[in-house]
Amino acid sequence: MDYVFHFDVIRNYFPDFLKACWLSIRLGLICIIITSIIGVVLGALLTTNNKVVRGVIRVYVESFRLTPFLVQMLFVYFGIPLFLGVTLDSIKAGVVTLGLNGGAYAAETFRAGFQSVPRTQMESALSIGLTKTQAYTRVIIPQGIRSVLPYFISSCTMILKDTSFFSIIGVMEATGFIRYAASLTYRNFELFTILGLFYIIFTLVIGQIGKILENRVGRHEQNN
Amino acid sequence: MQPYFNWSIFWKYLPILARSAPITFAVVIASIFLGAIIGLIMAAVRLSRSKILQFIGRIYVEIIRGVPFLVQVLWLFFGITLFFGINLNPITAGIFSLSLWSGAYFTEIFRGGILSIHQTQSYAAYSLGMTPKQAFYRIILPQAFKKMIPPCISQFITTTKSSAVLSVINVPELTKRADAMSAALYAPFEIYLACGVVYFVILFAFFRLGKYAEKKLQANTLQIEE
Repeated sequence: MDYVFHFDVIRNYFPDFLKACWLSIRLGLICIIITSIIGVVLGALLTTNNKVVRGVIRVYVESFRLTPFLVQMLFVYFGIPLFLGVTLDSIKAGVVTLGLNGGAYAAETFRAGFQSVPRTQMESALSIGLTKTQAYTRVIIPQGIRSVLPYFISSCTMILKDTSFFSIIGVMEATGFIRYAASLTYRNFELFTILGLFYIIFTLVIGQIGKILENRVGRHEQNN
Repeated sequence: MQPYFNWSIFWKYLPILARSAPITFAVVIASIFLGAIIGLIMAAVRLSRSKILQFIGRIYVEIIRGVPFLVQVLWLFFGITLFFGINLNPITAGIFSLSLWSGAYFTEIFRGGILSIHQTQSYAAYSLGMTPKQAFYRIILPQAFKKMIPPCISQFITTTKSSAVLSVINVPELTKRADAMSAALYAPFEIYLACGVVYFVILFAFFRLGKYAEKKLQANTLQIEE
């Protein structure tokens, strides 16, 4: 074990690394937004009585949840352009795949949230003259989202971690940048350790936000 | 570019890809086995009374769960090997990283299972004259074990999905084979689709098994509570 640390490598690459981290954060946030939209819409549709709609969504959810994200991403990035005859740059391919992947998990989360809203809420909304759509958008969805929001935010750490896969299709986010720097300098140990630290801080912050929200939602429900 | 899709490639290479599924499963089963052992030890560490041990257990779980598995694999395969000046072959490194990774999740499953058993169970056991050890092994553990089965099955599914990452360090598993084939044939759509189908078919069986176990166990616990 005569390894000599060269932390000056990190110092040289640090400004560029921070830029790459910022890209990771932005990509993560975009994917979280896509995920929550897909999750809320499909989660609401999963609670309806229409069997065909539910079946189609089930196929989507299970096929994304039971295959590796890496395979999905390679399929979208390499396969789709050839199949449809379009061009797709790596960031778009990554964001679309991660959004769809996260959406499949989020649909289940939000479905559970919407189903946890008491049945009487729906009945009273209908009895005061709201249409079914209004009852969903104004009564069921807001309450359901609030009950699963802490869990959803904690599960967003998974999406942030999965942005590291973008490096495989050549996006220069945090992981991609460090792999590039490591290939130039061969200071793998130092560089990958710093990368790990970035992700830990990143996910801890998001996890803490989830915990704070959990306490607030809990407090609110106690007051009721 | 013209849209292009060739079913014959899909059907021809699906069985060929399926034949490398055993390599994936050999890696996954070895990792699950080692990961469960790590999980048992670390769950005991996390549940111990010593504050220092608890802290160590927490650090382990937080690091593994906070860092993407891809980064862990790269760190282990490219970083640690350089640090210690050793040479790891990809399969060893793959199994090692996958067991360390799944170990953290098993730690939480085991710990959560034991903590989920109500304290009154212990009190009832003590009042019958059992020692704490007897109470743990005869009353708490059997009940906790049942609760751990469904999350263990879903952890198996997650670990299988994560094993695809090992293709990055050239472990010759399913995804790596698909990579090589799609490059050689220039048919990424068909080959990755086939690859996804292989994963899906196998994992769907385990998914149904998990659902079935959950239902059975739920029926069981309800009867106990009545």
